Amino acid sequence: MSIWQRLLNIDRRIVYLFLFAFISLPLLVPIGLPLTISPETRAIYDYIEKLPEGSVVVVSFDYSPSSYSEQHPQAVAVMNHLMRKPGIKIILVAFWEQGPIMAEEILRTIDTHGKEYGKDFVHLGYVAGGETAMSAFAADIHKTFPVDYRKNPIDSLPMMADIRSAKDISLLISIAAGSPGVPEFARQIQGPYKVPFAAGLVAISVPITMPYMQSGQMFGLMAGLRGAAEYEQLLNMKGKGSIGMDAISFSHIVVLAFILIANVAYLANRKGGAK
Amino acid sequence: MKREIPLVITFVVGVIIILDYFFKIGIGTLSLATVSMEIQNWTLIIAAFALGLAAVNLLRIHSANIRLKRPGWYNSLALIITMVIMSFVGITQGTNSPLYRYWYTGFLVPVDATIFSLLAFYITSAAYRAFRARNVDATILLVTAFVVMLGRAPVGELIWKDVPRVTKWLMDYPNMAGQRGIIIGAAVGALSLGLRILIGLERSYLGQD
Amino acid sequence: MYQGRGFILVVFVVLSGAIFYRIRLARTGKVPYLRKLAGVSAIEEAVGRATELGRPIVFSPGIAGLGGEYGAQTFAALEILGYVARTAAKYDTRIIVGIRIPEVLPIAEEIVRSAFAAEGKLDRYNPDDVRFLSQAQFAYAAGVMGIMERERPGATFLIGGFWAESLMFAEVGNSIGALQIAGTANLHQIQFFVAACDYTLLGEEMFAVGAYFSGDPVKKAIIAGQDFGKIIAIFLIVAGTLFATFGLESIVNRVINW
Repeated sequence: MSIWQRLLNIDRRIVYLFLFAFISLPLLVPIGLPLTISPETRAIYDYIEKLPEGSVVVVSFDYSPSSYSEQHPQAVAVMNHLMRKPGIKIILVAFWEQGPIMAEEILRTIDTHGKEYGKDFVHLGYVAGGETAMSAFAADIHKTFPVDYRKNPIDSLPMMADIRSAKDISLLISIAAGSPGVPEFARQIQGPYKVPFAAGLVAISVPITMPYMQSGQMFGLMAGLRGAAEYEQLLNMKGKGSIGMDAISFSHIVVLAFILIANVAYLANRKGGAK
Repeated sequence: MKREIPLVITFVVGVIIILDYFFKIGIGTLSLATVSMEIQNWTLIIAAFALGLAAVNLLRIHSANIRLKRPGWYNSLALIITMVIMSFVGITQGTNSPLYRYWYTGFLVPVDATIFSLLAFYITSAAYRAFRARNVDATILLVTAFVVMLGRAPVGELIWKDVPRVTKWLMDYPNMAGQRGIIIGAAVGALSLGLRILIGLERSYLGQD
Repeated sequence: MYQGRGFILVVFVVLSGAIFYRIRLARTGKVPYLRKLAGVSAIEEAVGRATELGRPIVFSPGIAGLGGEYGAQTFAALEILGYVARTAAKYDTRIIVGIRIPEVLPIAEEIVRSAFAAEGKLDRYNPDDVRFLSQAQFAYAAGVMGIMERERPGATFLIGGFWAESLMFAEVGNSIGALQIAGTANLHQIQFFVAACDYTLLGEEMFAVGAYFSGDPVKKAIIAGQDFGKIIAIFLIVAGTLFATFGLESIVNRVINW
């Protein structure tokens, strides 16, 4: 077998080994490659920056442990921003059953900057039913969540006294891994109630979500880990998004290198065969 | 009757949901929206029963693996033990209890994320095998993939600062045009399948005649 | 009527009307011609290959449920499962089905059981071969990949609504040398299937497979009716582009918000 044929048929385990090494190295020794901030991520940051005091922001945790590494940093970054802004009321909610555990993890570890549970932020937990539940939530929050995730009656939470439906929401951000996610929110909350809507997504679902950006149904999005890293940069914080970006760059280099090797070998092999 | 009753239920429920999507219809306190919502609630209840059936299926297959000492029977044992522990802790102490959180964040989160991360390896091996300049079409695909991948990683900007702009153009125009074509075709196909099911022409989900 | 849904209603009625019109034509004997789909012809080939190798078939109907916008994909997958199971029963080939959604389990069990019964081989039907694996996406993915690694199927069918697990299944199937037929309408996964599988049913092709198998002229007529829907879509795209170009977007918005 010629060298070109060998390069055309590299054992997949060797490919995996290279990838593993090139992802691990920058995680152990970060380089800090420069990163430009996309307009989509900046739009979310700017929108929150301009929110007046008393605004109500709903953050929906619609992801599970599988996309944790990509999406949890997005949620952490957005929650940090919201907690830093004085006078902003935050409602945490989930339409994915594992979402509340993610939300609680953030609430346990985040600096609330003096914000108090029940007065400035609440965690309503999960409601089953996907799109139907979103519609019910938008119509009547108190009826959909009679108690919060910590088993407090919703009417006992001072913050919720004047927040009854989607009409009282200033901004909706979903950290959405799939379905229910962006299309369902666009149909049930953004469209009917004209609530400004943005999302954090796994990188792979960004292309299919772009029509919602182009149509104006969404005004901003964070694309995968890169989106989280961009947001962290805007906040001047060093989070898991920024740490992971070098690894992403290196993994792309490995993929591109193997594609190049395969093509050089393929062309050389074909040339050799034609002789 | 075994087939007719499900077909009638399918038709009636389908028509109610479709009408509710378009129209506000109500007589007195009873509205179509309430009926539609009630039907959708039933689906949640049916789903809960189905989960019970699924659990029985899982236990039947894995307890047989253990009983008959089939190869890898210890994996079945691990599955049943963790399933029982997680269910017991979740039901008795709630999903916000420290013990549940310990199992959840200590085991489920890393294992789930690990399986997801396998995707990076599979993408690399698939890209290595699939992106070859075999003909003009494949070469266009190869070049496009190359540019888009560079544009998605910070290193791309170091090589050429306009890569993200080219990537964005590729994603927003040629990619979007193709995607919309497939979306429209699939949506029409889904609607047609829905009609076939609604009027009882498509009944393979009920089993063979 | 709810605001913003009038236009959708018009499209729905027109499209349904076109489909019913084609059904009427079919009943009078005017059966439309359907072009051949490579993926459809390959289904029998895949079952035949597994039979020749003496290996089983693995079938995954995806991870979408029965409702919502992805439900149609699951129904299409179950329709194809019926055909594949019957062909497998005919050739005495084992078929293993991995299920993620609990509601799909009893349906898949009944489809496979009745396929074996229809071939007069109920004794060959093994209820343990239609398996619920897990509701958790990646536990399910691990389950299906594990089955593929252990059972070394001769053919795999990955048809339905797939997300991140699509490429995992396709790559594992590829590594064990299985002939792979995939199909999904989830756009962001189609490219993975195209890259790693032997045949891929793209979007609407997956929904049309049932009509191909049945040979029923009425079902074929419905597929032909769909084309009218696409003509409407093309007309609307051109009209929308013209209106936008000439600054008449307000008219488009008024129609959409009707």
